[in-house]
Amino acid sequence: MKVCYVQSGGFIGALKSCEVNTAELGEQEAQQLEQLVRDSGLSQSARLLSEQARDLKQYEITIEDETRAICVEFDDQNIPDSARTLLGFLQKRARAG
Amino acid sequence: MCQRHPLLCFIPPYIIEHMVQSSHAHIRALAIANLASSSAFVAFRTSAQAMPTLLARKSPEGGKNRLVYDAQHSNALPGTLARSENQPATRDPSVDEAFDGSGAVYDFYEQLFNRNSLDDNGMSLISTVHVADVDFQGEFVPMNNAFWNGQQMAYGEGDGDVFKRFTGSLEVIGHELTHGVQSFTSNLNYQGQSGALNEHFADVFGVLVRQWKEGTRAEESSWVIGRELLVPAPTRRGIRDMEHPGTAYVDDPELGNDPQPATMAGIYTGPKDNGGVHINSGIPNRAFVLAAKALGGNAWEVAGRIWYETMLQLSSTSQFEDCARISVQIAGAKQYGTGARKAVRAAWKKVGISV
Repeated sequence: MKVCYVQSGGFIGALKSCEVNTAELGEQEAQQLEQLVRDSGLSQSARLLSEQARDLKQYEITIEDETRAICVEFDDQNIPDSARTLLGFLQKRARAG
Repeated sequence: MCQRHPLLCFIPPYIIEHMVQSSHAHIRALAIANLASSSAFVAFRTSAQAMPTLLARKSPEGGKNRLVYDAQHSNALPGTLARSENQPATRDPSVDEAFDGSGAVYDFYEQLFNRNSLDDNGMSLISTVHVADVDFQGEFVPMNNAFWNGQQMAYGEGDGDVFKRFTGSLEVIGHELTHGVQSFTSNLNYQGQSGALNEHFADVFGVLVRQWKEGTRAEESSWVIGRELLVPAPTRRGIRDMEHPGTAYVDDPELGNDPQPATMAGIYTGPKDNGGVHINSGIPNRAFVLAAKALGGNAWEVAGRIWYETMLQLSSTSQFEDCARISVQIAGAKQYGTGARKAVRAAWKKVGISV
């Protein structure tokens, strides 16, 4: 399973991103990521962005495995509660650019 | 392929439907409550988009009315009222900076453009400070951001490592409130070039509020946005540099490289950041600084007025070329002097937009 993460926007507007592939992680971390993806409830592509707000940070998470490839985008006011832990996992690994 | 529906927001329906099946009773209950309220929420949102004035809370006296709330390090807006109009300073720097800053922005628009608040109808200026983010463990952490949520401003405290208080920068307050002004005027769509123009006008009037307050002329002023909210480091000077886009931070370990282009040759065409609204704003930002410096004197007097009139005349779908064309037309009015039209046209040409 491959998970790609891109953060953009916010007042700052700086970009941060990372790509995590379970094939390149240790067994424990790979299992943790797979569990976080399951727990996130993210199962189909969606774009969940506030229409009126300005300068919110935006997050794009792409999940690819043997059976699917989905892309979910949301902003600070639309973070699915069930996906917060996965978001935090990815944010810790994200780097500028 | 990602699909977009403007009324989809907060927890998406498929996740709520999933949560309804949860083995945890409290999660099931929350999901069912959310489903029950969603139809009412959608109805409110549809009305609010059609009529932004529904969201405006009018000042009791019809003039300047500031309300500063304290989120108390949570993400609940608006929070607890900490200071209102005519009340003394609180000794909380965030509260007092938001109060004083929003007052300066109100005065700027009122004295220079005869505009009575964001809606030109005495709308109360609502701010919340000490706004926090939720981290992956569910804990509140200081927010590294400031935003306009469609009704009010929200300011984070910064993490202390890279960012300081967002209320510490007057142009940040001017920027966020100008997003509010735009929601009642051009209402530029927050996507692609129209979105970059939305960010551009927010930066222009944000920096002009500071220059007006400090009394600095265009030639001697800094055009760096957000210097005060950054913890100093050799790799960063600010969040954006309107005069030299793309140079505000270089090889910064946290921020990376400033992605803003200075001309149309470098325009970002990808999907990130709503099609680069905070990236491509560098192009019109530079055009404004070139025009302001060519016109000379106080930037808020001539260049600022031309840009204010331009902002009022644009539509929600306007592109860079529309902004350039209209600003050149407006600059041709007698009141701006003989050289204004030529200076504004030359400024746009330098960034790659000929009109």
